[in-house]
Amino acid sequence: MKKTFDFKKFSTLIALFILFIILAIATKGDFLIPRNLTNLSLQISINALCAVGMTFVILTGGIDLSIGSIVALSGIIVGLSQVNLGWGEWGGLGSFMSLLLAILVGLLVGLINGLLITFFKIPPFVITLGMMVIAGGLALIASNSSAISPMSDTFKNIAKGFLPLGPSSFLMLAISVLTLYFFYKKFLQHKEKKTTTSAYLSETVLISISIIIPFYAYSSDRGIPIAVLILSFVVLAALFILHKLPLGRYIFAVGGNEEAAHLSGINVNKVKILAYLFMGLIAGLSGALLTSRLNSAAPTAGALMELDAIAAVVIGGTSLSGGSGSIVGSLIGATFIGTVNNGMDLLGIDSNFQMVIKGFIIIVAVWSDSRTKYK
Amino acid sequence: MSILLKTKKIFKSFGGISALRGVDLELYSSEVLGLLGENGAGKSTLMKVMSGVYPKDEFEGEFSFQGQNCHFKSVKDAEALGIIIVHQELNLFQELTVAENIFISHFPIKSGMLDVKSIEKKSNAILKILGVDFDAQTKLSDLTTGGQQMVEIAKAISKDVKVLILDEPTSSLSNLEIQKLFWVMRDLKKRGVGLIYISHKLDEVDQICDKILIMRDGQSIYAGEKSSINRQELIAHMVGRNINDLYPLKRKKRNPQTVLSVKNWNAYKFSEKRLRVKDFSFSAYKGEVLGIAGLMGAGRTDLLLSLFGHHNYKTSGDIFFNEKKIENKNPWQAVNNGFALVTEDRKKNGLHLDFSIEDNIALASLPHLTVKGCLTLSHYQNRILNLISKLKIKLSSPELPVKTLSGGNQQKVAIAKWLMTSPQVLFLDEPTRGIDVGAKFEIYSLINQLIDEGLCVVIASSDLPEVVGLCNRVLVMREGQLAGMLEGAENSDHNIMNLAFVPTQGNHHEKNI
Ligand SMILES: Nc1ncnc2c1ncn2[C@@H]1O[C@H](COP(=O)(O)OP(=O)(O)OP(=O)(O)O)[C@@H](O)[C@H]1O
Ligand SMILES: [Mg+2]
Repeated sequence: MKKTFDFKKFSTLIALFILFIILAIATKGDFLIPRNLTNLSLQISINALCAVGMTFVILTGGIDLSIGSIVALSGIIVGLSQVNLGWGEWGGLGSFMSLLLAILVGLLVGLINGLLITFFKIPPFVITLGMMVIAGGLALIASNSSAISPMSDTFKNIAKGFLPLGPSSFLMLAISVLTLYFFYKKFLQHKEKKTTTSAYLSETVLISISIIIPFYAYSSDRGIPIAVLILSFVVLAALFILHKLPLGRYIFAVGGNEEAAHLSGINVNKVKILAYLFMGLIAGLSGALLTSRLNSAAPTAGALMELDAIAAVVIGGTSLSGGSGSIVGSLIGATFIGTVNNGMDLLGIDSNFQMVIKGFIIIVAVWSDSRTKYK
Repeated sequence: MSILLKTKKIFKSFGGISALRGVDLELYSSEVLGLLGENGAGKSTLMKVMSGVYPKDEFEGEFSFQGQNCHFKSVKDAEALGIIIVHQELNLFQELTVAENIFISHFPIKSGMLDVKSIEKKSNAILKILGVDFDAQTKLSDLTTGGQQMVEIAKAISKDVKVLILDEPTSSLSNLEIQKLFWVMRDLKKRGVGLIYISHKLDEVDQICDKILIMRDGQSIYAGEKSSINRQELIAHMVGRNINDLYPLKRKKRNPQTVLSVKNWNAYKFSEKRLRVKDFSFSAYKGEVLGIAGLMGAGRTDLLLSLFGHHNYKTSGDIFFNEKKIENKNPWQAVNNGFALVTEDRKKNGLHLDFSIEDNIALASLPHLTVKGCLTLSHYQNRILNLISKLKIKLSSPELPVKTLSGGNQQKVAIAKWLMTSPQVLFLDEPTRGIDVGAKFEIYSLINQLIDEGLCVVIASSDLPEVVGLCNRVLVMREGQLAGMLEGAENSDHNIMNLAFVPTQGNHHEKNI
């Protein structure tokens, strides 16, 4: 049987493109200016990072409500190390050490989450809710309830910097070649009559557009943002873990049917702990990136980030009960939410109204997704 | 006798795969129609069509009830006419009581509130008819699978039933429970109800059915009185070829090399105090089929799960494997030690129903399917495909979710998953439950092939003919203890049942020790 176009798989992406078109019209083209698109990807990258980590946790059938607080706590630790410990004066090495420290903080909190959830068999919702309050409180204590700034120039550069246009172009060229090769292989499959022509064409067009838009923006603006490079690296690592390592299958299996996973000889606890560790690592990294971007560490910085991440994951089609979903979906989900935010800013909508609209959009997005799923 | 149900050329397909290809069925009042056919023949699908699970626009063809054309939009419409189905898989709520489960779809309401008293009273009355030993207030999760199946049946007969469809109701029932069910069925029959009975157990079909309808590949192959067809013809119709001897020749004498030896095994669940397995010792030899028989709730499943390291059990005692003391503290240790366990309930803990067939088969052996730590399933595609053809799993593509397979074929996937790990000791808990005669024959041949390869197979089964026909030795379990071991000519239905029953002294039952 020939594979037909998988609308379910691409529905969120199509919705995203429609949103792009609407915004382009509503802002009379301002939305599509390279500078705005580049800024958009800077804004998206942190939520997208968190969404990737959250995908792991949700795939195992869990949830992590503490990431906003981890982001804040690790951000504060970064600020303290840069300002109070004076690592800010150590240039590149100091920045690197601050970054590492943030990741360690994230890993530690993630580990504690994982251990509590597996050993005391308390639902992740409860444990991470507690951890959200604890880590949030710690962030306030450590910072004395006030923001810490400024960071060193090299540290600021982590989230605000760009890969210069030269290397950027080279990298994008390389990726384009790889993509063309991928299309060619798909074409061979198509010729073996495995997919219908319309399916092949629509997939090729959709993937092309999703590559062309950011590449157009980066090449006509300042190059590829470092934050996007970091995100790409994390995404590749996540995809590798999920699809190339046995651990990836185990993550799906634990979320799909924990009892059957246990009896298949899978160390369920280990898998869960690793998922929360990965989430913690990413949250720590996000804390550092956020501090770098704002050039300041505030104890309230990560507020509601967990909700954005969960929304991104769910919009991306991952099932909240675990066992099915995808990293790429979550990326699209994060882009969707970021685009909504950015577009409403451009349109000058009052920020309180923005919240209400965003909430509605999340509900509609998830609802229409579940409609296409069960049809 | 008036006609109740009549179908005309029903067609139904699932995304290009046709499950029903023009079946005709007639059911009259006061009769039991036995519906037979291989796994995947389309029996359950046909029943789902007639009970409103698939609404009118999801299939082609027509059917009528008492002469009226039916256009069901949902199960409710079918139930309103009195067409009630007991599905092949349990659909119950583990956290609710028996009474709440029975009345879940038709709660009586008294002044806006749930009338708990009345459902408990009504439930107890039905449970009494069924002759079960639990009452309406019991929490469902405290029941055995057999008990839960009885609750499903109670749920069905609590409604106003004119047509009762039973899709493999006995696959997890004990003999005693089966007899009680038959008694109830005969009673319904007397009251004019028409019954459709699906089963792979031909002895039961002999006992209870008046007419037979045999399906193959979505079509009706044979319809007629039961008395006008003999067992051989029946099997031949079902599988499309002759099977002369269901149980392949028992392998002569084992070479008495002990592979597995268990000493003084005790196991209880963390959640309760009662010992499920008490001081149980046995040995299993290389190249033999060791049977474990016993009544429902005797502890066979507990024994296998606890030996396999399941996390619900606290255990004591020793396991020796090839004369060496080993520990199976958890399933992955057990798997590494060469053990494999095909569980009794594939939906609950055997398979990932939403995952693809190939992913399920690979799941327990992933660490061995890697090159430099990376999964390389494509390298192992051949092994998976080999297993699929060795077990004759009927599928259209190994990439489809397991849940799209018929019950029997799902069971074969569960077995394939464990053969994929190349085990040395294979525990099978009710391995042929819900499996058709042809496939049973194949699984028995497969078991013999495995023991020829030196495997040690331990089968827990409530299918007595199977235990007698297949096993070299049989351990009989009674209330968690070893009641006796039967070998050679002693291994008979009669002896097994004698050992399995609790010796009763007056009306003192030694149940809950
Ligand atoms: N939801 C579904 N999606 C796709 N295919 C299905 C689905 N349900 C059933 N099928 C297919 O329809 C065919 C008939 O299945 P059905 O469950 O009716 O068989 P059955 O006769 O009841 O078998 P068994 O004795 O094993 O229960 C099978 O080939 C099965 O794979
Ligand atoms: Mg069936």
